[in-house]
Amino acid sequence: MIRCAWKYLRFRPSRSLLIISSVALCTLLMTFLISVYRGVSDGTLDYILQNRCDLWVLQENATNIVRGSSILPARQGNVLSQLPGIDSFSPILLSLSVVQTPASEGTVYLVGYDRRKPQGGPPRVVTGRAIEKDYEIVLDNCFAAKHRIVPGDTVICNRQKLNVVGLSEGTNAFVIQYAFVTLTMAQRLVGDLKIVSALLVNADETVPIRKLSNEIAGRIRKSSVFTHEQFVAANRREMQSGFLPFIIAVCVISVVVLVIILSSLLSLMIMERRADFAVMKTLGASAGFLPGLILLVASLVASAGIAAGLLLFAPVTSLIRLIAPELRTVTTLFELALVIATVAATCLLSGLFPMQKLRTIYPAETFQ
Amino acid sequence: MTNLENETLVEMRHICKEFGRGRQTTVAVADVSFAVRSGETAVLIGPSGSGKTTLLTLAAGLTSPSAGELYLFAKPFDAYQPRELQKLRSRNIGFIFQTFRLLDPLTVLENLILTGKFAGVSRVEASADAARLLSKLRIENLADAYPFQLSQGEKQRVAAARAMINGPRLIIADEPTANLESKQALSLFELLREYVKQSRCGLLVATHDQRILSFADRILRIEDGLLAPRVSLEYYNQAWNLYY
Ligand SMILES: Nc1ncnc2c1ncn2[C@@H]1O[C@H](COP(=O)(O)OP(=O)(O)O)[C@@H](O)[C@H]1O
Ligand SMILES: [Mg+2]
Repeated sequence: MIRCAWKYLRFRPSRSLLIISSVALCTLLMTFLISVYRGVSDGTLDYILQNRCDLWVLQENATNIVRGSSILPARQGNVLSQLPGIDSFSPILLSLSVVQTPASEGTVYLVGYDRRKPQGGPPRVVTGRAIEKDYEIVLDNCFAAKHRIVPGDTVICNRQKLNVVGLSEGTNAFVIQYAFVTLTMAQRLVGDLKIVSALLVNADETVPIRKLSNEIAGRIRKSSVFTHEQFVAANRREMQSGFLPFIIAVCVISVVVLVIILSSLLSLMIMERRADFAVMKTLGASAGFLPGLILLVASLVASAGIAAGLLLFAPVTSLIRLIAPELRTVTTLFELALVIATVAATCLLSGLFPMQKLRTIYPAETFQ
Repeated sequence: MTNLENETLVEMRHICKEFGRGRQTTVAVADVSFAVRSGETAVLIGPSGSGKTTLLTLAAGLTSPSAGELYLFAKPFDAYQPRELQKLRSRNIGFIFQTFRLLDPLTVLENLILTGKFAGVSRVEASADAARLLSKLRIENLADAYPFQLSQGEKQRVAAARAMINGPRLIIADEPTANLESKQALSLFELLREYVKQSRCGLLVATHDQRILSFADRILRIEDGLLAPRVSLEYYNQAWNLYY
């Protein structure tokens, strides 16, 4: 029966190619979108995940650093030094800044951190080294690729010349990339303000976290305190609310389009081979044979299309990255399986509609 | 089924078949009684529109009669479940059509194998049966050809092979020679007669081709849905000659 289904597909090669291509494109589109999403998600959250600490202290009402700002007076850190139960704390200052090269300019999410403190730096430095003093900067490697910057170059940030000493990874949130300077430099760049955005606190386990959290909230005026898990979840929510609905909408639309294309082309095949199916009924094909044949055709189309879509994924992604180096895709097995299952189910579903047409084919037609 | 020699395959008693309703009713078969027995070639002859094809679809259990009694393999038509009719067609009846109706996307061999599989035969067995049958009909060279590559005569030989693959007890053929030249028509009927003799199956042919009347054991002349009185072959040939 597989052979029969395959023969019917091969009988109209250009149409079958069209059907398979639409499945392949749908697979490609969904895999691409989901891996871009995963890439953005990882790139956005990596900084937070890698700077694991016990408590995040932010400005009152600030819930995240993905799409929100937070400003605290820098001297609030002194309050923490006097509190029992705290092992260390790292201040960071986040701001949006323009980085200029002689040829181009781009906006970065500038992180100022104190390199003598345990947290706040880039998740991974992949080329060159981390910053050691003021007037040095570490850029995201995708950002650097896009603007053709290499370690050793000088960039200008708010009229200050900064030496690029290294490139980091896990710092690409697609719409924006992180960059790293010293805390002092970051404060200078925002106009010599003695402010920070957040304080990353490590507890020494002599005081329960919950109690410590309340203590800090009480001592630092107008602040909000989160555990690491709460903070990661809040940032993830913020990132998803901006991006996920778009991904889901595009995937749903592509599934609907695929169902329409597939079911009309399969219907066309049934109507075109109507006489054949009538003959099969006359010759005594069992009641399940023809529906099974259509489902097999749909499954063959699904397998070929999914395989082609997945094979195309790597070359297409590399091509797109030539135009947009900041695009980062991450593909996980789970998401791949999800795409495969969705497309396969869509194909089978598309086989169900045309199947109704089989009922209107009468064996006696054969004699006309 | 007691006497294999004279087993009645299809029996019709005062069969009537109407299509449509009310004023649009067409009476395709008015009142027909006849039987087809094993080992016998019965030829339904008559002008076009006289009800031949309708009688064949009744004999195949593909349509139900409007009135009268229809027995297929000694069992009343009404007693068959749809699934039994499907099995009956796949295992006990072979079909030959005017326009051959081979499945274009499949090769000759695959056409035969698929028909074999409809009868519940395994792929391997069906494949062996098909190869054997093709060589018996001396068309084994066509096994891997597609229907579009065949001549009309070859197509009908393949169609005959398809009708025989499941060892049917009855072969139903509707205008099998209408698209064939005389030589091809004769050769097809020699093939069919040979098969009928060997397998002792019944052959029910509808035609308005008088070239094949010499192969008939029984001629049933039908006109306007009614059987004409029994005629002998000689009488029929005479009448034909007189008429034309
Ligand atoms: N499915 C059908 N619906 C309506 N009328 C039909 C149908 N099949 C056959 N007829 C009518 O029944 C008559 C006999 O048709 P048919 O059995 O095909 O004759 P033949 O095969 O001898 O040419 C014709 O008048 C034809 O129009
Ligand atoms: Mg006819």
